[in-house]
Amino acid sequence: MRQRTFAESEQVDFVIVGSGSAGGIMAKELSTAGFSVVVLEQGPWRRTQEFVHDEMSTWFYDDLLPSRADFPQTFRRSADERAELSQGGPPPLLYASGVGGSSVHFTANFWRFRPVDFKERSLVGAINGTGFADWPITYEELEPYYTRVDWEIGVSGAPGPNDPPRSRPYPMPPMPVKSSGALLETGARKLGLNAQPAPLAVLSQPFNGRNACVHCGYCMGYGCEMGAKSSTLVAMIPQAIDSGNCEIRPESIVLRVDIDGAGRATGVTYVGADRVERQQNARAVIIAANGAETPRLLLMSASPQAPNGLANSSGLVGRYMMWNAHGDTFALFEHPLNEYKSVQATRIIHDFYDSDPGRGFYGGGGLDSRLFSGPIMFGLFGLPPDEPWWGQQYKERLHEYFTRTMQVAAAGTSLPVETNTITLDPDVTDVLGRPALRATYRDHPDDVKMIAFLQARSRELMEAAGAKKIWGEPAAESTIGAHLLGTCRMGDDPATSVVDRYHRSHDVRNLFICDGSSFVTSGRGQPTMTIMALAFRASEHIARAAQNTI
Amino acid sequence: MPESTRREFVSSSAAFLGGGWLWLQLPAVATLSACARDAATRNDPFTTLSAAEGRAIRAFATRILPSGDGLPGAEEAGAAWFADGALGGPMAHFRDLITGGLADLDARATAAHSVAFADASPEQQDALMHEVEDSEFFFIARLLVVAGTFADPSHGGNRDHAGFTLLQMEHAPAFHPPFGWYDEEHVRVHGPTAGGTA
Repeated sequence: MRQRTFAESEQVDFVIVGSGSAGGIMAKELSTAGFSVVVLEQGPWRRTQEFVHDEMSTWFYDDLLPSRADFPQTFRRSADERAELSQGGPPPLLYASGVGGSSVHFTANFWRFRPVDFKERSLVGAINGTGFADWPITYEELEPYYTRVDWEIGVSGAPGPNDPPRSRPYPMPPMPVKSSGALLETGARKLGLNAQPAPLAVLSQPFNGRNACVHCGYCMGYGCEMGAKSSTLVAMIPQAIDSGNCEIRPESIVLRVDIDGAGRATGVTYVGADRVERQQNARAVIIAANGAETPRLLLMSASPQAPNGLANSSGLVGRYMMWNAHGDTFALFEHPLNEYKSVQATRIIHDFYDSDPGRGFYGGGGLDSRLFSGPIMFGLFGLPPDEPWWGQQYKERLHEYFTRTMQVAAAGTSLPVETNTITLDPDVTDVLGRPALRATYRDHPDDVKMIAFLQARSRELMEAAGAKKIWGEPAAESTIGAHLLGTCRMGDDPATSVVDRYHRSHDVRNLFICDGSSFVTSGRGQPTMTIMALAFRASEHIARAAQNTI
Repeated sequence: MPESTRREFVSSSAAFLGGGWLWLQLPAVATLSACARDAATRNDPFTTLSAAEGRAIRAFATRILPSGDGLPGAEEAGAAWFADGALGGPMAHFRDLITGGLADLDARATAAHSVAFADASPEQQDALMHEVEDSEFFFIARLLVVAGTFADPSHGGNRDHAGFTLLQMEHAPAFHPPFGWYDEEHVRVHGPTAGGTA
């Protein structure tokens, strides 16, 4: 179906900035509810058949990411440092650019948050030097929307002993176990832990008119040419188009949110692929540009009425960024695992989810089994550090190790630290003359301790599973964030939060913000399921508000 | 290179390394447009590198992933042709680094053995490469060889999937379970719908 288009002069009900995990859902929800919607997406509109099994293009030539030359980023550890331009390797703020956003290239680990995640400040108490706080909503309030994600986006899985309550079973069985999952389970059995099937936003069987996964192995970082990975590109955008009320405008980069004299949003100013500046007027503006681009846009929308940035009377726009700490442990086994086949993770362990005062620090996390590296990455960095890195023995080791290696990936909490921020770089600009994204980030010491703890458990699990050899880098401070959380936090008090419990900006009545930036705490390392649940919930409230003329 | 030195080098190469999480040591080959993807054949002339540079990088590649043990190496994969294409396209910013490094290897071989690097014996080549092993040139040249052996053949290397053969990787657009030895065993013991340890 051809999508409806709107004239630029036409005032639509909603303009949505971003078409990813949150924006894609809100576009579908609001357009199918009868509202007129224009979605401005900075990246291209790729179709599923355009995605390829090409490690070089995807991981080394950044085919799915924003152009680094055109959209530079800078990084520093703390505010007293000058931020350095990121010139190579993945950017510090890693997200995909294109319709569907990062839901196109993500790994598709779909852990729900648990009740504790929303009220942990009350349970654990204050933590010095952090903005650790309860969410204004509970798991129980969000549960119906998690279930909608399961059934409308498409999640495969099976119940596990550590799961939060769910009102409806998974819509389809889990993906078949891989050798890494079988080995994690073997280790868990011996140690008295619980390895359970990984919930994944990947279809284990045909669902809602979409294909099932064919186990090609190109998930993490790649787009899915089968449409089996549950991105909003395949699960939501087609329905938004079919509603006849939604226009997706790719390659449209928003410069600022426009505000009238009364302090209400009137729309946005943006440029299309031709770089010509345009306005899109709307009754309400929704920003869902991700936890880095959303605060950047608000800060760029400063005006005499809002000199520190739009919706920023609290001063918290861009603050409390959380990336989720990560750490890996690698293991070699006797027989082939062939981890290059199928999805990344098929088993997870959530026995260390809750924070335990007995550990001496705050934190919780989860483990999953996989092998991240494709052939090039494995050839470059896959062998243990005590093996040669070129020559005959290097070759022999690659021949032996590639099919016999797995990793246990540990993902954990990030505490909200006010000095971890997105700000506008004062020295570096992008191709449009906008200030570059500047990330300032240093993990809270407890975040690193939690990862070290999880790596120690990973090592025990691999020993118990019978590994021939185990290796890994020690837990260290992060330099890259793929989970961009907390930078426009949700709360009831306008002095200590940016949006209210319904994602409405405290400062601008017809401005809504919903994506990873809304998070108050980080969860345990897999945030997309929660971003999507928040988007379903926000859409319902926004639609209700719109019926009351916002 | 000793392990500690290698790690130090890698972690200090901030200009072209990521760091942190999964991309712990991922080199910088970003900000690049699409590569020239016409697959070359073994006897095609090099287009970016000179004939002498082409001989040198073929020799270098052969010492990174040697041939002759019954498994394909970098030469069988045509890794040098990948490098030639990449240095004329997405990795053009490394061209001077690589040609300079190859000239340096030739100069060292001439000084020590009175021959070009490509004409030195494998033992002599290995010794010369050890001399420059801690350089940015070596790091990026090795990257080109490894990528040229294992990247999708559309980039000009990995001919006849030689790299996948070396890794014992089955090349197919789709797979079916069992995927490996342990999941096959797991299903045999626990059944196909086993739901973890619970």
